[in-house]
Amino acid sequence: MDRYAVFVPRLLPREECFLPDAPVSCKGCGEALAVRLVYKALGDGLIRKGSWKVPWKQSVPELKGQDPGERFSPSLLRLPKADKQVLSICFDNEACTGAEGTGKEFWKKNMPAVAVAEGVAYVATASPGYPFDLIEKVKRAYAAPGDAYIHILCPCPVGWAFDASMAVTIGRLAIDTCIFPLYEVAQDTCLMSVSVAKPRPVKDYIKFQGRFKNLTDTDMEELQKMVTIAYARLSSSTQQGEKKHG
Amino acid sequence: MSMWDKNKVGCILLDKKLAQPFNKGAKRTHKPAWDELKCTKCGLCYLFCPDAAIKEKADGFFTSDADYCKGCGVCARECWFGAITMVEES
Ligand code: SF4
Ligand code: SF4
Repeated sequence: MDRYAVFVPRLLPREECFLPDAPVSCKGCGEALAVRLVYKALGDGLIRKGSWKVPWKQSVPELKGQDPGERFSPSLLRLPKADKQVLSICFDNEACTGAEGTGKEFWKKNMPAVAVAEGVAYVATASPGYPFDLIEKVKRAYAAPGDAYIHILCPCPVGWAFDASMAVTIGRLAIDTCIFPLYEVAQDTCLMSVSVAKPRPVKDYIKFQGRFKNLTDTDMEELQKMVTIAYARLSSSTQQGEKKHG
Repeated sequence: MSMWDKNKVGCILLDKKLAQPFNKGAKRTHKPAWDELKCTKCGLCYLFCPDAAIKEKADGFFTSDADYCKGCGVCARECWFGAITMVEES
């Protein structure tokens, strides 16, 4: 069967560092999948034994603002690198912002942008819907000099109210509809990892999720506009970044 | 191994090992079944299983580990060749 480009066991280590020994995740958990992929990328080397054989830390750094949309409390995995540098991986299941998309005032905080502004050396966004991209980014973030931050959007079947079997599909739709673009920022250069030529309507992403069922058609149009504008702004900054670099 | 009935009110786990003794697959309603005539051994099901329940067999085909599979159906949806169907647990 060599004619198929995708042959996963040949591309990835077979060894499973992630053992969900404690049933900490629900079925179809995007976060569990993301953690598993992160440890596929990093291997067994940095691992202290825990219930998942990995240093899994669920901390809640709530960043509070006056606006409810400014709140943000994901789980963070922090891995020490050499010279007191840290690789932080944020598993964002949007639990705190279940109302994301009901209007401007509930839009969630743009953590990757905050990290870029803070001068973090390597910043990237990833999704378990694009597993090889995620794995490459984790490897690159670990190898990059300086602090690194990766933001992973993890679909949560319970919180977002969709069928458990859709977890990966929803993760992919978030990128295909441009609502969560994949990019990486290293050395002041922003690179799109997946440039979406023909974005699918945001509705494709919304319609599977029970958490958005209160959205009216007007909300949807407004959301579509915001997503289009945000994506256009991001891709234009990407081009500038490329020019600066080359 | 069922221990749910011995739980404290509110499912508080006082044991240090937390929930490790519970069987992860015990509450599954469906499980994946492989059609090896359609399977191309691409391994996407193995890649996408959130619970690392899919194992490669010696002949290169894949199977699920009943202790870990939660029956979510991600593997069945992500298989490009439609080789996996979710069958009801007997
Ligand atoms: S994804 Fe489908 S075709 Fe690929 S290995 Fe799994 S069952 Fe076989
Ligand atoms: S049904 Fe879900 S948990 Fe079970 S093998 Fe498939 S992807 Fe893994």
